[in-house]
Amino acid sequence: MLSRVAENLFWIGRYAERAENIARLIDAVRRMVTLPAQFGRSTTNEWSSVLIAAGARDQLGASIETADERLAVDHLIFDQTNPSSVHNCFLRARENARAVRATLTQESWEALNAAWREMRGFSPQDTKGAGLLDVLDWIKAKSAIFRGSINATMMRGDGFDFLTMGSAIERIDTTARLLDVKYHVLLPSLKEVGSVEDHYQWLSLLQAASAQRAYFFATQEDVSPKGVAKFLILNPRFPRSILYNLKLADATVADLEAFYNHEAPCRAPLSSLVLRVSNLTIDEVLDSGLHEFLTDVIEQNAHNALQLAEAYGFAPIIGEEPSLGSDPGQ
Amino acid sequence: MSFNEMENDGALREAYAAIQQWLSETPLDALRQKRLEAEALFKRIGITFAVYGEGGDPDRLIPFDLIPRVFSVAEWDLIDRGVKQRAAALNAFVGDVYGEKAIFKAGVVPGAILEGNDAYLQQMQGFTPPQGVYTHIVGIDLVRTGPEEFYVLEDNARTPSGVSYMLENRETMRRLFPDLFGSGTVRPVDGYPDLLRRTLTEVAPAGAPDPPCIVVLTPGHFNSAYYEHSFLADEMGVQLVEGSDLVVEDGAVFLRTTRGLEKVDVIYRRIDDSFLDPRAFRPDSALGVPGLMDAYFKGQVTIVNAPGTGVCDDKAIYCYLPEITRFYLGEDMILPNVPTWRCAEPDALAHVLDHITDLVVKEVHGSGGYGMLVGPAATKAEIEAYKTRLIADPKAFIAQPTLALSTCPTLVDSGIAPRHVDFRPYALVGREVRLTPGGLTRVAMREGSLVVNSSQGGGVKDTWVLAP
Repeated sequence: MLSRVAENLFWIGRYAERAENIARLIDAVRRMVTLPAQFGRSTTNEWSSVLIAAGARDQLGASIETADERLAVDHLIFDQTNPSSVHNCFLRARENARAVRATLTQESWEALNAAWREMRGFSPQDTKGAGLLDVLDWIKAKSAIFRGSINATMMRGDGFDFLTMGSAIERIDTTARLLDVKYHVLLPSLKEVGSVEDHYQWLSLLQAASAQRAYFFATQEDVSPKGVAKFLILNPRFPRSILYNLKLADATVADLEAFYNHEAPCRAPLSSLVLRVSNLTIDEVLDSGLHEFLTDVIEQNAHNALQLAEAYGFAPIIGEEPSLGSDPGQ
Repeated sequence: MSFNEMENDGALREAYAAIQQWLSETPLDALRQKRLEAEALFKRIGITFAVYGEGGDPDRLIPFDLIPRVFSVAEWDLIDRGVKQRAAALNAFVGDVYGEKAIFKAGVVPGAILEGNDAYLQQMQGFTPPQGVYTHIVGIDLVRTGPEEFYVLEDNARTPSGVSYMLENRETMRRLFPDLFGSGTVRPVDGYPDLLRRTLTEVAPAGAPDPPCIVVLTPGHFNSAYYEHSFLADEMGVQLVEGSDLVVEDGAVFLRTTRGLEKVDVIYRRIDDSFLDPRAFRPDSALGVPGLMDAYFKGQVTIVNAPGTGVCDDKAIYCYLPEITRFYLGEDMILPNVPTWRCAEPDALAHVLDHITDLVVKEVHGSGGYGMLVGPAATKAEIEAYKTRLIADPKAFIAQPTLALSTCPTLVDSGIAPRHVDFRPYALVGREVRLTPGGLTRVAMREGSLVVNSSQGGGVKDTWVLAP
């Protein structure tokens, strides 16, 4: 496979994933802001915090503090100057796909082509009031159709692996940043563990990761900061947890090694990270500092992406930008 | 009155019997509905003709007309022989231009004809590509003015485009109107990618592995014809590459892959000569591959079509095609040129000046309709100004009569109406010359218009060649 094609596939995986993550994030905030104050309506501005989580501080400046739904939705979904807006995610996923049409299956290409074409038909008007939910559902559905068509039609080979790597690396990054930002936003409530307010705010965090039911199913526990952190970092079976995606990335590089019958230098650091995280308890993570741990994961993850690119001839990664937030510890 | 390919004075032409019956059974509204379906299909598949950097819709479609254009067995026999002959003559001529120059020495074509021909490449002088083939993919633009009257309007020997529309138009028609093809009277076109791959394989350098490593070289996905590049690579099962995917090492060309470097044997390039190699041509070209021409001249890689083949697209050379065909093949030309006056010749110049209001006068090296005088449509002042230029440098001009292009029934806003068409079949030249029974029919969608170019609102039609 051409190295450029590997690069295009990697980015398709990232952008398709990113579009969906943004939709889930907005959905969670939409739920939070509709809560009555006594049920966890935070004193902080949720729209502001979601924009901070999405790394919009540089672009929006001071207006981010007084952000409302309109500003957040415009920026995160429609803004063409925001490289990670849903509009641009679909645009770039489709551009990358167009450059490798012969490698993607017809159905997968058509899924991204349709996402981009339909996206151009939406305007901020369509997200007013109840319309927002429809648009968010539409974004998630388009991502799901793409992922489904890949799963159903694409040959399991190096191309599939590079797509999977893009998706896994994007998810690790998203979950780490989400947890980090929310941890800090919600920090005051840690003092009142078990309060109603605390409960609903951490619940919203699970919702952002589409993890609410999975959490209850897997843990049978009440929502708690520690429980949520443990679930999103260390659960080996939840497909958006950090550990799950580290393992997925490791197995995918192992598959590439087998496919090419050639050891990849990027494998060793990845495997050792998997081993390290697998053996951690949540208490160890919290004792040594959640923020420090997550920062480390984010950096390691970016490094792993770069090493992957180097191993297969498409480094440096051009156009790399943070998926959710350059401002994790605000 | 233009020749109507379906019916004249109420007399239906036999090749169109099936079309006539289909149209009589299908209400206009149903056709309009199908046209919407066709457009939706093209958009979904992404068969678009994006013109980036010009603003406008990046999702733009070339209008697709549902009513096919049909050639009878006898008509196709004529086109088939004529186009193959033309492709052979053009190859022989380009080989001679870059070789012995026998045709100039024999005085059949004046040697001065190459002066000012920008497509001529001095670097190619004395070099013979594998199998002696220069132009492997040849698009011959044909027009028709009557039942037996076919003319060649233009030769496209560089990198003719549009063949993906031949294939996709058929695919779309088969999907929308499966019953039309049920009786098996229409010859299939989907063998084209296979013939193309076979042609490219045949012209691989001596010593290349079997099968050779073939790639399609595109300027990239912002190019308006990118869809076609990716389509052809996909259909042939070969890699679609950009210049940056290729590298020259030790005089050979390699692909950069996830396994390391892999040697390339044949490059079907869809970028212009001047962008191929910044070391040999335009130093500012970011599309090309430094050192490519060096590898080419060392016989390490075949470039298709060969650099410098554009010499024969020139109008001054076009009008010598009858002499060229006779000189190399010893045959009379099967498909005639449009009658052309070479203004370099004093008698012709006198005729052109006398009849300029009836003629189309063109610059020899011009293309795309620029710098042209359409006599019947020009003002007195325009004609006088053009005459001045013509007299000052007669050899830079040719003149042709204004042709009444044939028409085909076409679905337009007002219903079904005749619209002017032209036709481009694609010849493939490897060890032999091959022609797929079909081609690209372009149609001027505006009433009376003779402009079929897609950049000016022209559309396309499926083209049927009937089976014997």
